[in-house]
Amino acid sequence: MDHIVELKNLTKIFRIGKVDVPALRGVDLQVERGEFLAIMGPSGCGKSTMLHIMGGLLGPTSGDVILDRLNISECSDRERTEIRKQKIGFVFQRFNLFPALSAKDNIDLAKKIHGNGHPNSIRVEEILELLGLRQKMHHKPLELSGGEQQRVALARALINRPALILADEPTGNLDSSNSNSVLEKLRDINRQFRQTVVMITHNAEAAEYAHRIIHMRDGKILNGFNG
Amino acid sequence: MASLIVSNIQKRPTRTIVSILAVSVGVVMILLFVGLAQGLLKDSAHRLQNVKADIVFQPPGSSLLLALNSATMPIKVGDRLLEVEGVRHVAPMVHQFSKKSFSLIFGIDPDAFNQVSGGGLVIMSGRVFQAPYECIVDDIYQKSHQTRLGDQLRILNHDFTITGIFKSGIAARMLVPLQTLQELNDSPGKVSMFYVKCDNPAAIERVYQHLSNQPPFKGYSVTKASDIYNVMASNLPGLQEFTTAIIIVSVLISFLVILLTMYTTITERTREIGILKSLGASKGYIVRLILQESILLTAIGIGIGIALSFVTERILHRLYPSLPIEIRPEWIGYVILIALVSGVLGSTYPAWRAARQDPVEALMYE
Repeated sequence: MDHIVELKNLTKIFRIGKVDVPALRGVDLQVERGEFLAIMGPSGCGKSTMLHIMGGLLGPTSGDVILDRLNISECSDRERTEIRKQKIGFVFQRFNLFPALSAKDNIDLAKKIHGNGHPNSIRVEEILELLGLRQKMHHKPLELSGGEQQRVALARALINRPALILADEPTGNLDSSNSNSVLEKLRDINRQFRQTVVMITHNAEAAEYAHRIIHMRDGKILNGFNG
Repeated sequence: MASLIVSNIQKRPTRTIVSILAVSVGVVMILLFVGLAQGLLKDSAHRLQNVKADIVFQPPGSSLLLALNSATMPIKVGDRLLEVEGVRHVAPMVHQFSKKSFSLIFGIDPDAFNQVSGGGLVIMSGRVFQAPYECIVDDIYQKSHQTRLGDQLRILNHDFTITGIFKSGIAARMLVPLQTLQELNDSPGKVSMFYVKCDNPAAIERVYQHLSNQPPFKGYSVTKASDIYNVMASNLPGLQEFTTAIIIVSVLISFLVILLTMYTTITERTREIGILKSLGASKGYIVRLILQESILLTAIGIGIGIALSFVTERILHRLYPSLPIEIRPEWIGYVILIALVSGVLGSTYPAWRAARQDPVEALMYE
């Protein structure tokens, strides 16, 4: 099996004041290359913490995070930044676009941070076309609907062809029509470009777009089954 | 990065304008105050040099900044000076600083003065004074005070009649009879300085050495005309301190405003910094982003500040023609450097703080 992500006995404890609050309590998980994985669970169960650790935004307290055969739990902050730049694309519930930049400039920014010379990178116009946003490329986020903003965020995550897309409740702020549109795009991209998608969701319908769904509770994975 | 910087600057126009204005004020302060100090110095030096004397002879311990001195030297010293080999003419001068017009008034003997200056006192209209309470003023004074021939001028609580207008750039802006000023100064028979004209240029050094080292002149203050500007600049009390103080105040204004602007900017943009980090932006990238933004603000401020300095200088020149402000090219260079350094220093801490932000906390920032 070719695993893009492997989490081994992962723990994360946050220190809040003088109290240790465990967020992850020994998580083991393997994500196959090209898989579309959905993670479900109640608020505070550790889903987002796990996603942030997978994406190198956060370091674990203990355990290993193997990303594309590299143990990032042993990496420095600078190395994790480089890995994030090269291998990961984030999609957030609140879109997190730069409000002062147009759709095209938001995507361009990600491309520039990555460096324009990446052989796998897609042209901005191409990705906007793919996500049905070509007519809106010069619009600023506040001139776009929620669904359009999330598609811009998706385009930004995809522009550098990262090996792994981490989506934290990407449809949490969208109505059902826009949710379906975004999820279909995620699924199309997963199929077309064989990009691995790990998506957190509270919505069972959204989770059905995934190949596999896992459930979390109290910082642990309860089970996993194919969607 | 450029589009992000420009959009950030456009996003908060009031803050951007305030930051730019603060930098501009610093630039204007440096250029105008330093320009005024240097302009006054150069103007005084030029007017001294334009008398065309070869040597300026003053009482011991005198300054070339004439306002600091008084008339303490017996006029008979002039006769001794004429006895020195190589000295052709000597012209005595008394001066008085007028607080009312904030300028110097010279008391001269027109004949002796013209001998030394080779007819350098050019009367443009009217005539030179002949009676004790007559005076002549230069064309700049006449223009700035809107005076005419025959007008009365109140000098040291006495009324003087303007009898002539002379071409500016020599001696002082107001000239009165030597003896009158001596009496009004309560120092009859005393002078402030002598202008000394030598036989020929080759004699200047010899006369200078004689006056500097030989009795009875040893101890007097002797300055060659060619050295006047440098001696004035180096001896002027407080000039360096004044310039340094202006620079420090300007740097502090720019530094603090840029620090405050960039600090509030990064606090407001915490979430954006988190997004940049999630996109893989390095600490260096974020530091560069903040620094470039502050450099852009500073650069605009510098440009506006330089332009404003020239506009203000023109306006002041029109309103007060006698106020010499000299904006020198090298000071434009210094001011660009000073403002840029303060801008970069002011944004260093905010940039460092932004780069160190925890990406997850930043992304959750409301």
